[in-house]
Amino acid sequence: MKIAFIGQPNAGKSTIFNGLAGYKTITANFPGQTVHYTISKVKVGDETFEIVDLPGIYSLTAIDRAEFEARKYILSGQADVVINVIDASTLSRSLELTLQLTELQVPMVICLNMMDEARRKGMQIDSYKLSRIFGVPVIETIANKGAGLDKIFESSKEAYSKKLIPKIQYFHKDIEEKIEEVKKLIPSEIFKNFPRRYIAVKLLEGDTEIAEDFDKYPELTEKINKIKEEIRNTHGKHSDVVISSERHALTMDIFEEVSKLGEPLRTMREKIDNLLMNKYLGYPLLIFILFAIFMVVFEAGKLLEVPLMNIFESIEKILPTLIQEDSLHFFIAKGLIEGFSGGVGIAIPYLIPFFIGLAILEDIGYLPRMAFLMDTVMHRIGLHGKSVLPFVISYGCNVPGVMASRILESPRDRFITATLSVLIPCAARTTIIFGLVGAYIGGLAAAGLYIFNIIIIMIVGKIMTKFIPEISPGLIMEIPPLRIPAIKNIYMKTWFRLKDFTVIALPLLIISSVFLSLLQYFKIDVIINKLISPFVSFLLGLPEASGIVLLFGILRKELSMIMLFQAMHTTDLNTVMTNIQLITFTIFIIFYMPCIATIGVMIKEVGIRKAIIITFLTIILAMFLSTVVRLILSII
Amino acid sequence: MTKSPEKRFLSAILGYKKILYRSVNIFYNIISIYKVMKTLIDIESGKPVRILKIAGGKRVRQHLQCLGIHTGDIVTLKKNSFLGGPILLEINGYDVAIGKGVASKIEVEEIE
Repeated sequence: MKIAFIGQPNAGKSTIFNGLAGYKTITANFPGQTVHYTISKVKVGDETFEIVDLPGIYSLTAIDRAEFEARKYILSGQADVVINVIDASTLSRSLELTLQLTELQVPMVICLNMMDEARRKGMQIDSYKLSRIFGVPVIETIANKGAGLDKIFESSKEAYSKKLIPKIQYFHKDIEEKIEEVKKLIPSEIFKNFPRRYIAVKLLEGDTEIAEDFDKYPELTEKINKIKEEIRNTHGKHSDVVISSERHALTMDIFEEVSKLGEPLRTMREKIDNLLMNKYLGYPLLIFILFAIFMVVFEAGKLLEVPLMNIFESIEKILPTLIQEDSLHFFIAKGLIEGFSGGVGIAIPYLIPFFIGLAILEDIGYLPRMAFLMDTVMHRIGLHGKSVLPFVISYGCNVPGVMASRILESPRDRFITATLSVLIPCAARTTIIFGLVGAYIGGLAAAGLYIFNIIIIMIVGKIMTKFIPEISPGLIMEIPPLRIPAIKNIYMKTWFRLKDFTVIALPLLIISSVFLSLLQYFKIDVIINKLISPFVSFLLGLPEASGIVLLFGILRKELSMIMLFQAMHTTDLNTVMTNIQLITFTIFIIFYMPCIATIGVMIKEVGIRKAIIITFLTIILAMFLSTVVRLILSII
Repeated sequence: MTKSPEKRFLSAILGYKKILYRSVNIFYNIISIYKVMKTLIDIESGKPVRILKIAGGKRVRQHLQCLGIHTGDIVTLKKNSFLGGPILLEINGYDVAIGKGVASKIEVEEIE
């Protein structure tokens, strides 16, 4: 038996799914987390259920990619039972989707999730009455506490065996007559498997995808247009507006019938929420929270890194005793160990605390509040508040930062946000800023580089939004209530993301490390240094030996500093490089081409063509900035 | 295919009608500037309002509809725009943030 979960964004479908199937998808207290659907098999007793977690959709009018996927799946008729997951605290608007689902005429169960939230808001919902109106089972759950989940399979079986198809809720009589007219017009040979009424309503709503199938019947399209025109004449509004307001009216009728709104509980949560979003105090709190998280990430990361690196260093020390030095095998082994130590020893210690911090922020629901606070600032560079989330994540690592850009609605905003995220110094580049500029020149210069970076990002953002001048749709976003995160969820989420990193980024790090080692074995690094010396020495004024370091920072940024030490044959860089050279080098490292793992994820998110464009743009930007800074500094 | 004279005459009339409609519309718009029209950014925090009209494109309207904001709905303004920032609305027990640009296109009236 196949069960599909469908519901509005942030209704808790994924949480229910994870509760039933073990941890399979990422959840967050943020609308629109699931983009693709996940399928899992669950055995209950001796029965196997196949459950499908569909992306959250607000309505069956497919306006974005996620909605389109979900609708296609339901219409394909693969699901035996549809479970409509509803965030009980937003019942009034969630019922609109339920009404549309009834038109599909598939056995259905209504699942009122987050009942605790609704109660806190002073809502009382009569689920028995709701069940009688729609003629399908209604269950109450609190998914993040696991309450009521056991009822899901039971009621799905009931809905399936008794063929509990939801009752259609009818609009006003005059509209129903028009729907009936359209129904009769639809020829029997098309849309055989779809309910007639659904097709008729969608035609009146002017659904482009369904209308396309009618292109073969021009006289039919004309008749339908005539009916639409009639509706327009009698109601004074376009037929799609008429249908949607009819649906809204019906929804409000049902909502008023099944629920009672009482006084909401004014709890601590409300007070905290008011403080977090306060127009004056909100901003210092935002800075404090982010600063606290980064402090914890760096301190905890250091605690993990030191012992891990000691292990890898000791392995590297005994290596010459095992394999003959200068042999091909030795270089391959060295590359492997350095790859592992870079990924496991340096990246993962910082990623674990960072992912935990991020998971806590997500589950509490602070991220949408952050977007709310930062909306004004983001508008200055032609984006809106939601873009701030990928930026913040990018300070930890660009890979999840670029991935997070998918929460934005328009492809243009997604592209610009992903590009700007790449320019943000991740943890690896931060070590270079502190290790080179911080250590040799001073903390103030390092802080200055961060501010310089932010200014450049804003300018680049401004230029990009000028070149792609499509108007950003503006911020329209639900702010979900603050929630106390469940420890199990945070643990599972961190684990899930870590697994993602290990699968995508770690192999790339190891392969490129071995590759680098092989280059050294065949002495190709010297040739490369000579080849790119016009750029490195003439344009940037850096020592020729640093060429290979810059080039291979593409593969592994976190090794750039160690490699620079190796290339210059000293750890006292200020004896061989001037302050200007150090700053030029660091600026180049900050801005040019993201590491190979970031390029990989960019290809996945924005496509290979745009990923290549961004990569080249960052190289040009880095060249330009470091040359200009070098010239300015040498004049001063 | 050439149009018959009657049809050409008809379409000429229809075209004329369109121009008439449009000029009436423009005239109405000019007048409405002088009427005191309140939008969501002109309201004080904590006031319940009724939405009269949502100007702006179909996409914005659809997006608002998805979040349960329709013409005729009664909503409460929880936080008003500060320094060009977004506003916060409460609709039947849940909160929605709306950027200033979109909020300035939503006409409302205060209710007691």
